[in-house]
Order: sequence, then C-alpha cells, then structure tokens
Amino acid sequence: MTESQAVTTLEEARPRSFWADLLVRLIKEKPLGTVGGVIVLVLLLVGILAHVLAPYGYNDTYVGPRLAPPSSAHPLGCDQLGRDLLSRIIYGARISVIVGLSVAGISVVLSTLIGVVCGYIGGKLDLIVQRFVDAWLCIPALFLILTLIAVTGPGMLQVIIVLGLLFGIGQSRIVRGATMAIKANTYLEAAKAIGCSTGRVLWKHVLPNVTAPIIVLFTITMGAAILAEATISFLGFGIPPPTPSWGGMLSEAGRRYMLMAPHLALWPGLFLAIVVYGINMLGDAFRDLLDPRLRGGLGRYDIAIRRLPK
Amino acid sequence: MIKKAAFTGLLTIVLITSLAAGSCARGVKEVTTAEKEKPVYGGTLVIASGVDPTGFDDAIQPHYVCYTTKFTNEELLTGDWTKGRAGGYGTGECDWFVGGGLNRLEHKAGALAERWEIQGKDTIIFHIRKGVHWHNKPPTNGRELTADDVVFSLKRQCTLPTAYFKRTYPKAAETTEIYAPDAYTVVVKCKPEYFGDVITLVTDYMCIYPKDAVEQFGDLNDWKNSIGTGPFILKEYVKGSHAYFERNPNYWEKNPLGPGKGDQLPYVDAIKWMVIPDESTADAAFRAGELDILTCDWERAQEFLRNPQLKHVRYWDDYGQAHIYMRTDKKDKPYADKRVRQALWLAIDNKKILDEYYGGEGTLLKWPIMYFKEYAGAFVPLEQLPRQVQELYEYHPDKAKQLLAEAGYPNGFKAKIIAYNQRAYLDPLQMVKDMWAKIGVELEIEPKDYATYTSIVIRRAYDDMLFGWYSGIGTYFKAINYTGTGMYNGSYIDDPVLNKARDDMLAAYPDEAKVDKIHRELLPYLLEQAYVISLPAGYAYRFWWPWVKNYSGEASVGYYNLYNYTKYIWIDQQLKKSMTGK
Amino acid sequence: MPIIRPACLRVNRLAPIVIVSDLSLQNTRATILGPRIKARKFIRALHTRTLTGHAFFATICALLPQQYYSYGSGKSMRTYIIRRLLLLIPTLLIVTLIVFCAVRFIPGNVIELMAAQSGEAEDIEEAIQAIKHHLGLDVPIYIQYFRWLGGVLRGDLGKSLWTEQKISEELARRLPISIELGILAILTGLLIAIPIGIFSAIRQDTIGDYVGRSIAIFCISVPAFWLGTLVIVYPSVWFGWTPPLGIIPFFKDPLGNLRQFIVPAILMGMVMSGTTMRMTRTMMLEVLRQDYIRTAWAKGLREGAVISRHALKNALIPVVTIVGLQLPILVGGTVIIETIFGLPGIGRYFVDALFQRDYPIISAVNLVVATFVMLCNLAVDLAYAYLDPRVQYT
Repeated sequence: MTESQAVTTLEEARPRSFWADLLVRLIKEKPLGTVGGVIVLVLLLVGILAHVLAPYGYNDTYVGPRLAPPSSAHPLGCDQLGRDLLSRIIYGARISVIVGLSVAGISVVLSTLIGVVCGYIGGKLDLIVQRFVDAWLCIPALFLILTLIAVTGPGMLQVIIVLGLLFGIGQSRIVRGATMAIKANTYLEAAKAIGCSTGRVLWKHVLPNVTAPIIVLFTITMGAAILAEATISFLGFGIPPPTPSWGGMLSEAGRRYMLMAPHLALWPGLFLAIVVYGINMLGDAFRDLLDPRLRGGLGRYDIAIRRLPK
Repeated sequence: MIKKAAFTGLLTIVLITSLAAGSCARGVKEVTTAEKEKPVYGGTLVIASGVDPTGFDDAIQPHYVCYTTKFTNEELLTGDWTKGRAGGYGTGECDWFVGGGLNRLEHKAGALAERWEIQGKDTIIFHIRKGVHWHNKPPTNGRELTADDVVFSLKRQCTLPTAYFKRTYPKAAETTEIYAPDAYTVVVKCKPEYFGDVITLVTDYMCIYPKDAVEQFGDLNDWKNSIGTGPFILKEYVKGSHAYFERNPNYWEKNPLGPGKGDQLPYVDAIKWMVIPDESTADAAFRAGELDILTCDWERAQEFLRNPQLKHVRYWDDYGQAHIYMRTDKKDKPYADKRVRQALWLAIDNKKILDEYYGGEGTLLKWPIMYFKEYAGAFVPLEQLPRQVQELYEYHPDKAKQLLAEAGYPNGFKAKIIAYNQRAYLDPLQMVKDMWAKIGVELEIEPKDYATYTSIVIRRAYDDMLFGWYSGIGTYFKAINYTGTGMYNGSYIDDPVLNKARDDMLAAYPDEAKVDKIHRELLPYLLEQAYVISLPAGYAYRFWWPWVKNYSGEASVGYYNLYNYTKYIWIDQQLKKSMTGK
Repeated sequence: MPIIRPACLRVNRLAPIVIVSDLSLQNTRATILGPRIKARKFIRALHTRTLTGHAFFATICALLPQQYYSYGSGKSMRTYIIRRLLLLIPTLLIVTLIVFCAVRFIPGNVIELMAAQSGEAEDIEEAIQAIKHHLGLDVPIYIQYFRWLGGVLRGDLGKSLWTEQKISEELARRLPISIELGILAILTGLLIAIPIGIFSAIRQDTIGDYVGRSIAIFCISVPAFWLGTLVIVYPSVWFGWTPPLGIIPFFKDPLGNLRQFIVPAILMGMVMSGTTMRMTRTMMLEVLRQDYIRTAWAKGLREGAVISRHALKNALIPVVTIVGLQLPILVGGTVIIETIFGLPGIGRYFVDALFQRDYPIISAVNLVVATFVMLCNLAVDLAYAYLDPRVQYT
C-alpha cells in the first residue's frame, strides 16, 4: 500500500457524527451490545403501544379461571384474580419503561449537576456539599425509602422521585471524579484565559468530556431502578396495585404461588431478567466504545487492523 | 380487646369456622375420634409464630402481645378444656379454634381461682386455689401463691398508666375496689355501669405476677425476670429467632379427662417457640417435619390436604378481617344516603368473590359478627334474614345503578379507600374496584404501611373510605362496632335505634341468653342500613403431625389464652422417629 | 497513647488564621496566631489539654479549606487519616440529626401505635398522653436529641420503646450474625467473580467471554428474594429438607452454624459478584493493553505467569475498592435474605424497628451503620493509596 493510497483512503472516509459513529461501531463490534440494544428497543415499543397490544385490561378480573396455566386463550396463563397475565406483563413493560427512564433521567441530571459543579469549582463548596453527600450515603437506603414513601404515600411518582434521588446523589461521586480528572487539562485553562464564563466552560468544555461515564451511568441506572422497584415492592412500598409492575407481581403473587402456579413467578421474573440483561449489555457496550483508554490506538488491535485497507 | 392485624399480616387472614359435620377434604379427616393411648412424658414441641412478642409484662404492654406470658403466667379463670374437644373426651360445646375473643362466662373454668361467685352487678368473689407455687426462680423460689399476689397484680392494672385496663377504661379502673379479706379470697367491687368491662378483664385477661419480684425489678418487662405459675418456664429468648421454654415440675394442674386423667401436667419437656415471619419458610419447615403445628389459609392448605398423614381442622377467624367503612356522618359525601350505601353493596358480587378467591368455601356473613359455635345464640344465618338483607348479599348491578341514580349520582362518583398494604387486603379491593367500575364508581386504592395505617385506623382519620378492622366476637354485647366514638365504629354511625339496643344489652349483661336475644333481633335492621360493607371470608386451616397427641386443633382455650393447649399435648416420640427419622 | 511528633509550624502568609496543634497529649498546645494586622489585639492564645478541646479545633480545621491551616505532624498520611477520622464527627452528627428528626415526623408515630392497642377506649387521648409521658416523648425534639446524644457519649445506646430491652446488648448479639453473613457473602462473591472476570478478560469477545458476562448479568438481574424463596421452597418439596430454624451460635456448633449460613451467603455473594465480575474484566482489559504486559509477552513468559505476576496485582486495585464499597450493603441490605432465612441480623432489627417506629433502635442502628460505612470508605481510600503507589494524599 503506497503512501498516497493511504492518504486518499483517509480523505475519502466521511466523518460521521458522534451518535452515528457510535451506532455503527456498536453493531459492528459488539454483538452482545447489539442484542441488548434490540431488547431495549422492543421494550420501549411495547411500553408505548401497550394499550394496542394487550388483549385485556390489566385489572379485568376473572376473564379466565383463577391461576390457570398457559393456554390458547391465555398464552401466559392467569393470575390469582383471574386476570390475563400477558396483558399484565405488557402493561408492566410500560411501567418498567416509565420507572426506568424517569429514574435514570432524574438521577443523571442530579448527579451531573452536583458532580460537575462540585468537581469543577472545588474548594469550600465542594467540601460542604460532599459532607452532605457523605451523610446522605450513610443513611440506609431502606430508611430513606420508607420515610419518604410513608410521608407522601405510595404511588408511582413518589417511587420515581425517591429512587431518582437515591441513585442521583450516590452517583454524583462518580461524575465528580470524572470531572476532577479532566480539570487539570490545559484547554480548560485556555478557555478561562480568553474570558469564558464558568457556565460556558462547564457547558461547552467540561460536559462533553464527561459524557461517556454519564451515558454508562444512565443505562446502568435504568436496570438498577427496575430491580430496586421490585425490591421495595417486596417490602410493600412499591407502586400500589392494581398497577402491574413486574417487580410487584414477582414479589407478591410470585412467591406465594411458587408451588401452586409457578408461571406466576416465571414470566415476570424472566422478562425482568431479560430486560435488565439487555440494558446492562447495552451499557457495557457503550462503555467499551466510549472509554477513551480503550478507544483508538489502545482499542482492539485486530479490529483496528481490519479497518485499514489491505 | 382486639388484637390488631399487623402482627399476622404476613400470615394472612386466619379464619374460623363452625364445626360443620362432614367437612372432610380429600384424604384428610377432621379429628373426631378419641385418643386411646396413654400419654407419655417427654419430647419437645416446636410451634411457630409470625411475630416477636413486644412485651413480657401485661401491665406495661397489652396482654395479647406478651406471647411468652401465655406459657409462663396464668389468670384467675380460663377456658374450660373439658368443654372443648379435649382429644375426643370433651363435651364439644366449644371449639377454641380462634386466637381470641371467646369469652362466655358459662364456658369458663377456674385457673388460679378455684371457684368464683358473682353477686348482683357489682361484686365478684374469687376463691384462690391452694397449693399453687411460683416458678423456682429467685426471688420467689417456689413459694406458694397467695391472695396478696392476686390483689397486687389486679391493682397494678388499675393504677399503672401503661396498664391496659387503666388506659382503656380509666373511669372503671379508678372506681374498682380490690381487696383480700383472707389469704385465699379476693373480692372485686365496681360500679354497675362498668361491670361488663370489669368482668371481661379481671377474670380471664389480667395475668397474676408475684409481688416480691415486681417490687424487686420494677416491672417484669425484661424476659430474664419472667416468673409465673404457668406450666412452662422461660429459659431463653432470642429476638427475631425463638423462645425456649422448659417444663415446670411443680405445676398444679392435673389432666382432667381421657386416658391420662390424673397425670400431672404438662407432658412435654420443652417447647421451642420459633419466630418465622415468612409464610413460605413456615410451610417449608412444616413440610419437612421441623414444625409440629401449622396455621394457614385455604390456599396454602391445599397441598397439605393431599397428605393423608396429617390431621387438620378448619374454621373461620374474625381476627384481622377487614370491612369497607364509609364516612356516613359527612353530609356532603354520597355515603350519608342509605341508597348509595346499598347500591355499593349490591354492586359487589359476593358469591363470585367467595367462589373464585376463597375456593367456594367460606362465609358471606362477617359483620358485625361471624358464626362461632360458642356464640351461636347471637348469630342469625343468612336464610333467616329478611329478603331485603339477603338481596344485599347477592349481585344486582342494575338495581345498584338505579339506586345511585335516585340518590343523585347517575354517572357514579369517585371514591378513595385507605388499606393496609398486604396482599390479603389489597386483592379483595382490586376485585371490588373492578366491580364498582361497572356501575360508574371509580375506586382508588391507597395502601399504607402498618404504622401509618394503624394510626389512621385508631383515630378514624380518613376522609372517604377505609378498609379497616372491627372488634371481635368477645365484645359483641358492648356494640362498639356500630355505636360510640371508639375506633371500631369506623363508619361514624350514630343511630338512635342502635344506641338503644346497646343500652339494653349492657343492662341485661351478664345474662348472656337475654343479650343474645336482643342482638339477634337487632341484626336485620343493622344489616339493612348498610353502614358497613363486608366482603366474604374464607376458611383457615390448622394442620399438625400425627405424633402431636391429645390435640384437636385448639388455638386458645379461653380469652386470648394463646398456646395454653400446649400443656395438654404429649408427643409420641416413637411415631415421630419412625416418620421422620429424627 | 502513642506519642506523636511535635508539630512543625507552618505559616501561610496569605491566611488570616493559623492554627497550630500538637496531638501529643504530653505536650498540648493549641494556639491561634494572627497576622500582623490591626486585628491582632483580638488574638488570643488558647491552650487545651483535653481531647474535647483538640476535637473542637480539629473540627474547625476540618471545616476550613486546606489553605487556611496547617495541622499535625509532618507525615502526610497520618495527617490524612486523622483528618478523615475527625471529619467523621460532623458528618455523623448531621446524619444522626436528620434521621432522629425525620423518623419522628413519619405519619403513624409510636404513641398512636401503642394506643391502638386500647382499641375499645371511648377516649383515646388520655391513653395517648399517658404513653407519651411513659416513653419520654413529651419533651421537645432537641431535648430528646441531646438526651440521646448524652447517652451515646456515655456508651448507653438506649432501650427499645416496646420491650425495654437494652439496645447495646441486642446489637452485640446481632452484629456478629450480620458480619458473619457478610464475610461469607463477600468471600463467595469474590470466589465466583474474580476467576470468571479474569477468564472473560483474557478471552475477550469469544464465547467464553459472552458466557461469563451473561452469568454476571444474570446474577444481578434476578431479584435475591425470588431466588431465596426458590431455594427454600423446592428443596423442602423434593428432598424434605429445609434450612434449620432458629439461629445456631457459631461457638456452640461451628459446622451447624456454617451450614445455616452458607445458602444465604451464596445467594448474597451471587448478587454482589455481578458488579465485581465486570469490574475485574474491565480492569484486566485495561491492564493487558499496557506496555509492560507487552514486554512480558515479548520476553516469552507463559500466559499464566503474565496474568498472575504482572497483570493481576494492578488490575485488582479498583476491585478492592469495589469490594470495599459493597461492604456497607452488608449491614443495611441484608433484610430480605434475613427475613426469608430467619436469621436475626441487623437488617431485620432495623426494619422491624422502622415498622414499629421504635425510635431508639432506629437511631442506634443508624449511628452504628453510618460509622461503619464511613470507616469502610476510609479503609477503601487507604487501601487504594497503599496498593497504588501513584496515589498520594496531601
């Protein structure tokens, strides 16, 4: 391969946007991540189109015999109140999507705000805020959930806010760490030197460079939130019935009817595991693709070889 | 004196039934035959509870949460074991299947009091049993029980601010006189208007404690200081895990009937009382033979009913049952109108709930009392109620819509109900929500955790509807479920007809036959007013392994005397070894 | 008490205040000096001999930014440790205060719960007042808090409101159970996670990697309570076996005790191993790209030697921190396992107290757990500094 050919090849390569590049690399290099992405996409679609896809409402009692095993009329069976399990799982997907996305969204916004501001500004503000973050982390999560929900009463909104707060403040540490890591960079000093306000520096220079861990945190939190909702349903503080959340179905009816009607625990548990698996795989893939230390020259050697023309 | 459902929230609603003949399930028979073998001493009984005790002295914490005192301490009277099934030798007048609430004087026998006399409506005289000894522990060291101890214990209940009697009936506590004319007699005198309260508590509720021990320790609320006259001595208690009791070798009682008549009780050497909060774990332990007796609801019972080796009984229990209360006192709310209340009731398909959710076996009649053998005189079965009342228990959605329209709600309305966040409470409400949606009433369910829920229930601090508890059978003559300002009048009922009936019943007490008659005549009116809507109740079951002998499924012989059946039980250790190899 | 070297005086000319403190108890001197400005007449020299005095100054130091003071002896690590330990105090105060107050405002307070048991009373208010007084809850909150704090400083964690049982006794009984469960869980978690993580990393993007990562994700996707119930229910049906009821103390019967703990420990270990597995894999991947590994390969070392002698130590540093971060879960997050398996540990103690609104227990457990969490964080930071020579604490 001559020098001129290599140069032309490089010039001809169209620069792709950040997101498109990410997507293409995801599909090409990370098969597991792609699978995860497909799962998440299916989840989103089912969640949005739940009322179209579900054959019955989620609280239509006794449309089938109680605890009926899977049959042609009810592909996943019926629960202890005779409700169609397939419909409840489909509506449950909607709840999981809402809870997962909202909690992840709130926690990312919160953690970025606290983490970036504290990490960049440092000093007294950092010290004091970190003391409160420390204190918050010391309070057992269970206590916080119980207190907040006991005060406000159970409901989907309360659960989302509580979980968002919990995850957000805890993860601010990670974002703060990432911010502090790039704080010493010269380009930030340069930006300050030419007179950028702190806000502009944060928005234009700091934030884009901490996007990588934030994206990863978003996907991880989504999975963790869905699981956390299952756990607090076990203790009785989840989303109140008859709203079907997978975690709620698993913790109440699933455990009680484990011997009598195992399908009640099987389906929600299975779908829960698949969705959390997909989300985590996607998050893993994003992290692999976005981590600067694993990118480019330090990335997979043989993939990098494959990119060069023979 | 009602236990609150929180403690058995996880063990679900336990139900009591009448002793209906021929109520056999496949393979497993209800116990009716008499035991022929002679009892043998020895062995350890393992029983389970879902919750820890929260006290050890019933003058500090209420009697029904001091679980260990039911093994170690006794009261003046107790339920008469010989009137129950008693291993097949009793008269069978009583079942004693439920955990509490059974308090008929005619079913009592003397425990620490050998005999008693009621004079007029203000005096009870107890003749204390001779030869009863305290546990052989310092400071009592096995000395004899005297009237002094009894007077001291009863007076404590009247004076300590934390004592149940003083807290709940302060005026009665202040005006009750208790004294001992001699070493073996105790006289209790009170005002006639408080006689009903005093009798229910002084006889079979207040535990007797040794005077010297209480004076030495201040109170007996620390388990290590537990001293009583009971059949078992508390040796060890690990919170959250178990309590361990050993046999009291100096116990006064002898087996009153059967092949073991005359034997000194108890038979078993030790009792392991395990704290198992999780249902599945309790089931698993029973399945594996680690647990001797198991109480469960009809669904969990299905698997055990298939095991021909096990013995069982089934019954209804009024403990922990919940009903739909409404703010009938608020004029701006729809519930002040009787037509709305009846419409809401008519729109619930009770039979369907019973068939589908309770397996077709249960009772539709739950409020204000359920059927208990011991209280059959106060109960009116469904067939004997007038037609309008029977209709309410049936399903008539069109009539419901019509009544709603007449009352001014042709398009229905929105309702909110506060409930305890356990499955056993929320499942029926979800069915109700679905049924009411068909007549246009939108129900929103608000589950609350135990403490929040309880504080709402005791102050009746709800705005719309409440899925709350009621006072069980033992207090039926006080009519607190539908009169007065206590927490059990959940629907804020203030009906002159009902108030008069209550006064009549209180005046007639303790003539229980008369009280029953007044109650029976009141029921049709009370139910027709539909102040409270109650959903059906299913059966509860109690299973035990065949090596547990001389046991017929009792839970409490007397008024909240949980576990006192354990002194009559003997373990067939050979049988146990052959069945489980342990 | 060890003698700490006398402090060297460091004056920062820009700082208005300099605090010099010598932590040697034999040579106590805490002085506030000031710059040569008009405010000098307000400057006093303060001496203190007491630990409280030192703690007071140290707290002030802790709250001030670094450039305003110099503190302690020359060795920076020791300084750092002391500073962190003293920072514990204000954080603990904040935490305990928040929890103390918050729990009293949750609807459904303990007085009403106790009064609920006098259900038939016509007038519940009298009962409520009597109970309030008996429990000592009729004084304002700050007085309650200071009473509690005073008790804690004397070593008395209080008594349960319901059973009047001493909390320190109960904690002493429950902490070993939770700690034992935790240690076993961490060990099993590490045993599962590290080999699979390493394997995944060395065989990246092969089937082995995919299987390994799938196991990791499975471990964290399935809720622990569901697995726990599965483990209890099915063996009792198939084999007639159930985990033993009632806690078996370790010193009475070590084997029985281990048998009782091993199943819940494995379950918890599985749940925690997911994150550790993935972190191990990531760090191994990063380390394997380094130059010194390439050198090791070039030298001709076997794969085993390369991994164990060169890669592992460096890769495991963050893994240590991850494990350290998981330690707090052991005192707080074990409720569900404890409920299902019937182990009386701290988790259940706390949750039961929370449901019954038993305030002293809630505050005491909260204090213990918070201290434990902060000490764990400190230990993790120190371990990190110790293991990785590049990390410096000033």
